[in-house]
Amino acid sequence: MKSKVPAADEHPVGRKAEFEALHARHSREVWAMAYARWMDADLALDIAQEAFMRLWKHWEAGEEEIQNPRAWLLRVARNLAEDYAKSSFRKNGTMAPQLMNGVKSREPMPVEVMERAEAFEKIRSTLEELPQGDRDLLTLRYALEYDAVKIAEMLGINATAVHMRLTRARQRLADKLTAQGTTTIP
Amino acid sequence: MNTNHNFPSTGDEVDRLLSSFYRSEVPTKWPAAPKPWAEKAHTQTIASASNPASRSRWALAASVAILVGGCWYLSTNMTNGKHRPDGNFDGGSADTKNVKDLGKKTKTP
Repeated sequence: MKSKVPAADEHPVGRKAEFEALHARHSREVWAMAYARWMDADLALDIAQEAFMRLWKHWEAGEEEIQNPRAWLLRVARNLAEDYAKSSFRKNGTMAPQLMNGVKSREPMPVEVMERAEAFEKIRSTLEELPQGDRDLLTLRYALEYDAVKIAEMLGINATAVHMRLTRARQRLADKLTAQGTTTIP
Repeated sequence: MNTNHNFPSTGDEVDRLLSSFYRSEVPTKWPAAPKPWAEKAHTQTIASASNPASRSRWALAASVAILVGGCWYLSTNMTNGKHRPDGNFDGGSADTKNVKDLGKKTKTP
C-alpha cells in the first residue's frame, strides 16, 4: 500500500537536496526519452524540465509516495511528449513555413556546414520513420552512450535483446539511408 | 550468448553517421535543476506587491475609512458651523432658548 508522504514544504532542505540529486542523476535519461519521441533536442529539454516540475508539485501536494522516481519521471516525460502531439502549437506552429524560409542568417553558411546540416536532416527524418522502440534504443546507445546492461535495465528487456534490436534498428536505418543516397557525412 | 555488454565500435558507416548525428544533438550544456520553490516564493511576492486588484482594494478601503472618519469627526466636533471646544452635547439636553434664537437669526426677510 502506498503511504502519504509529508509535503515538500514540510521538509524543504531535505526535499530540495533530493530533488536536485534526482535531476543530476536522471535528467539526461528523461531528456533522451522525450528526444527519442520527437527528435527535437530543445523540445526534449523543455519536456524534461517540466517532468521535474511535476515531480516537485507531486511532493508539494503531499500525494502518494513515489516508489521509483526514475520510472515515474520517464513515464511523465513520455506522457508529456504524447500530449505535445495533440497540442495546437505543434499542429499550427508559430509561423507558416514559407515565411520562415525567407529569414536570412546573419552570416552565410559555409558549404560544408550546409551539406552537413542537410545530411543530419536526412538522418533525422529517417529516424523519425523508424518505430519508437528503435529510436529509444538508438538514442540511449548513441546520445547517452549507454552500454547494453544500462539500456536493458531502462527498457525492461535483457541485454541480448538489446544487441539484437540494435543491430536490426541500425540495419533498417542503413537500408533507408542507402535508398536515399546518404551514406557519408561531409 | 554475448556476454560483452559494451558495444565495440563496428567501424561501419552507419555507426559513424549515428555517432556524429547524436553528438550534434546532445546539449553541450545541460540546464540546472528547476527551482520550483524559488518560483513559488517569487510568484507570491509579486502577487502580493503588484497585484492591481489588491492595490485598488486597499485604496478603496482607505478612502472609505477616511470618509467615515471625517463624517464622524465633523458630526461630533462641529455644531452650527462652529467648533465645539469641549466636544460634548451638554448631556444630551436641548436648550430651547438657543434653538428659538437660532430660528430668528436664520429667518429670511
